Amino acid sequence: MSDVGGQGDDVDGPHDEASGRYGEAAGQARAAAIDTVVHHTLVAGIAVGLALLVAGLVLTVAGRGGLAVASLKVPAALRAAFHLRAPGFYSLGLFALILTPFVRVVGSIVAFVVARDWRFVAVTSVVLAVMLVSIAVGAA
Amino acid sequence: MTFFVLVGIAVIVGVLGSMLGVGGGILLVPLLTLFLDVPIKTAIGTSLVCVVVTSSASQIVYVARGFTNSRLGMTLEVATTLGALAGGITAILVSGRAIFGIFAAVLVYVLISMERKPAPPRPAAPGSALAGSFTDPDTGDEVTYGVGHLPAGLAFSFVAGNVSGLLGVGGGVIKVPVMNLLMGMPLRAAIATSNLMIGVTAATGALIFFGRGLVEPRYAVPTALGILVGAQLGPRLSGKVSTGVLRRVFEVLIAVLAVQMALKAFGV
Repeated sequence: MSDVGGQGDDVDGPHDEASGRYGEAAGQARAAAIDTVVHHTLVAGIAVGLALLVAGLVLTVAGRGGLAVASLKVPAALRAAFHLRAPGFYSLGLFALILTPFVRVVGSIVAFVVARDWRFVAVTSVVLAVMLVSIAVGAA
Repeated sequence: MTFFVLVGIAVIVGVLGSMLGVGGGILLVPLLTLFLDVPIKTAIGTSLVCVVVTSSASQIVYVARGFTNSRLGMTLEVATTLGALAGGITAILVSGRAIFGIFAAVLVYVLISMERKPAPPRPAAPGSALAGSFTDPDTGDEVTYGVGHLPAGLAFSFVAGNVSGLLGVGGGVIKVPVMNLLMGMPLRAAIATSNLMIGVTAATGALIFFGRGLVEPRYAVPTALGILVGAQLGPRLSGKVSTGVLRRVFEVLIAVLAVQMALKAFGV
């Protein structure tokens, strides 16, 4: 395979044998497995985020902190949530929702490693690295 | 009180967005800034959270139906996340008025792209690592397609990511036509794959805004909840409301918002 390594991935080139490397059936089974990982990650992420936001609203109604507070950094949010203060739950819930695609990317890397699909392990790792940089930029 | 106004706005945005296949951000940011006086950078942070939520929720459906091309999505995400990172940093640094101006320009682009007659897509040769297939739910046929023009696709993806991180929108208005018309993907696969990328791209931008304290719970909590409800309602209403009428309403709304955002850019 001349195109391993990424440079000049001529995807519209005429080399039909490229699909052989991924083997029709095996490739489809792998793709299905990756899709399942993605699916479960998304459902879990939204469920956790929503649950935290709703818990926050319940606490606000119960008089344990309102909405009109600046967002907390994660350590402060964890402390607030530990003391059953609503702002902690809001910040953690929003963070969980934002982090869902991030976890999805991590899950894809694992799935590509299991499939020994090294090219896409590399591609997905670059995406993860960019997301880590954005966390660092936000925290700086 | 504002809480329920925000929930209401987000429900409407979620319904419109899911029925017309556009992200909510393009409506949400102008509505928050123009009618509720939310500072523009806070509005962008809020909107990015909503875009992430909408994308994750619709992706659950798309992935289950097998429309999403994860390999291609991940490849283009390299460009969109880099774009979002650059856009997010730019948004933090430039003035609010500059963002209003760029936003008005993008709204005009959205209007033009909605009016444009679509050119027939150019099918690419099947058979590469990025090729994909899915079962068409209307005909039951297996649709197999190739993907072409990857370098140009990556370049446009960077721009789409940049717009996303800078303005708090999904960027699907750029990605879907590029994948469909330029790269040769069927529309269904292009929409699903664009949606997948939007989540990762918006999350990259949102992480910057969250860290900077620009994702405020008082705005983000009601809008995130509202948009989730709206996105669930949209598909259920789609048989009952004419898409043509909805499209007109959306276009008028976009035109009005474009003018208002432009006025803000000039300090009016």
